[in-house]
Amino acid sequence: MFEFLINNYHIFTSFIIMIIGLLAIILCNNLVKKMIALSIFQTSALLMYVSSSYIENGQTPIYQFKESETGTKEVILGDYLNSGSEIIYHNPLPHVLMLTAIVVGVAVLSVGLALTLKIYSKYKTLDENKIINKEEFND
Amino acid sequence: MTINFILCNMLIVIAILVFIQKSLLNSVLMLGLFSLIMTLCYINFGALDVAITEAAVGVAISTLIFLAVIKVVGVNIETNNRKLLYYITAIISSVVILFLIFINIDTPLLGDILSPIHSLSANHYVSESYKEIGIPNMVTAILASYRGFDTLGEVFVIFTAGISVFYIIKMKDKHDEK
Amino acid sequence: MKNRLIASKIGYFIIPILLLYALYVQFHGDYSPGGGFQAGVLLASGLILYEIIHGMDELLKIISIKTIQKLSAIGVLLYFIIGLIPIFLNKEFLNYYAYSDSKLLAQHIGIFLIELGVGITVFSSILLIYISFSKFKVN
Repeated sequence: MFEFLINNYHIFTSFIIMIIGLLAIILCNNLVKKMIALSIFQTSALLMYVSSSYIENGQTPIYQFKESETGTKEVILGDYLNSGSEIIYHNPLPHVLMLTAIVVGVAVLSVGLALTLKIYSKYKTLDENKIINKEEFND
Repeated sequence: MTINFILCNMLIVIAILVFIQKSLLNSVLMLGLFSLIMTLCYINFGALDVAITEAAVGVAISTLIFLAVIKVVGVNIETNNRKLLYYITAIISSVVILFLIFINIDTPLLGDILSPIHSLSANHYVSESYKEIGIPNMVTAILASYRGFDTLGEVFVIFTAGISVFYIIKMKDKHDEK
Repeated sequence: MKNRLIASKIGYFIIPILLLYALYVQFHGDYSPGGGFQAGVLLASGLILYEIIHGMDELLKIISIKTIQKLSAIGVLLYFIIGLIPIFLNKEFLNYYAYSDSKLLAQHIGIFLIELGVGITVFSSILLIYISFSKFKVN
């Protein structure tokens, strides 16, 4: 277990921040603090995915060129199965998926904050317990 | 990697600091700082596209939207004393974290090239993408050409969010007309 | 009125650089980290900075709300039509090989137009979200 903590410390960090965000959504009374906790929760999950794309001694996934014998530029391809290429690139697939996740996260956050503003304009308070007490339940 | 260790510790400390502030403005600024340290983590892992997006979206746009909301709502929050509840949840959550660590004890270590995530379709993208598409940036090639459907869905999502926020805020309820 | 001399003079320097950098990131998405999403967000940040310094009325003189709504719809439509044209040329949806005989040139055209659509939509959506939050008044 200590080898996991030393070498995969970022996964442990991701768990802790996820649990902190989840607890804050449940325990905080203020609605805007719940939205802050939602944003932190989403960001922590992305860290774990992006860290799985890292390869030791690797470069950013943008193709690099080298000068060949005839003087023209030649591209250096990457390869994970055969260990013969000169440059190892990081895995580009988790980067692509997490790009979409970040933008979807900000879209969800903005709709949540719009609903919070409408709740504030009706009840004039943002405390969760006071809103539940003020709400009239018509049976 | 010691840089990884230092940045992850800063992330944990800032995440705890976000929720013990007495004012909403301080919490929002700590959220911006959290996104900034997350950008540095992404740069450390070599993910530059994700780092630019996180810096632009998380630090700039997210903080600005929260500040626009706080200008209407006000920065004061009501505090209450629930120390016993917090201690009980701390104990239960540490048990849950230990459980999560024991589930994940066999994940591949950081930077392992033999991990199975690198061997199937990612191998095809890295080795054949320049011959089939011809642009140097692999992430743009995958995003716009190999996985064009996902990007179409995401454009729909951001478009829907834009219109729905506009019409939610513009809509007048019955009680407004009284 | 408030005296915003220092912020206004700094804004004269920074805002053009922000907008130019956003266009650079959009069109160099093929050669360096960047693309449609980042460019849209940076462009929106430039105009939001202008709104913070000079006020909402000045921003609405530059670009009206109806224009922003139409731009976001144009971005989605551009993406969708680029995907729909290959169907009329006897191929599948989002198949870029229908645009030209040379395979690499067809992919270049498809990727360029798609990133343009994504950039326009993200810019106008985020600007619309900020403007609606900023114009909200509690009655």
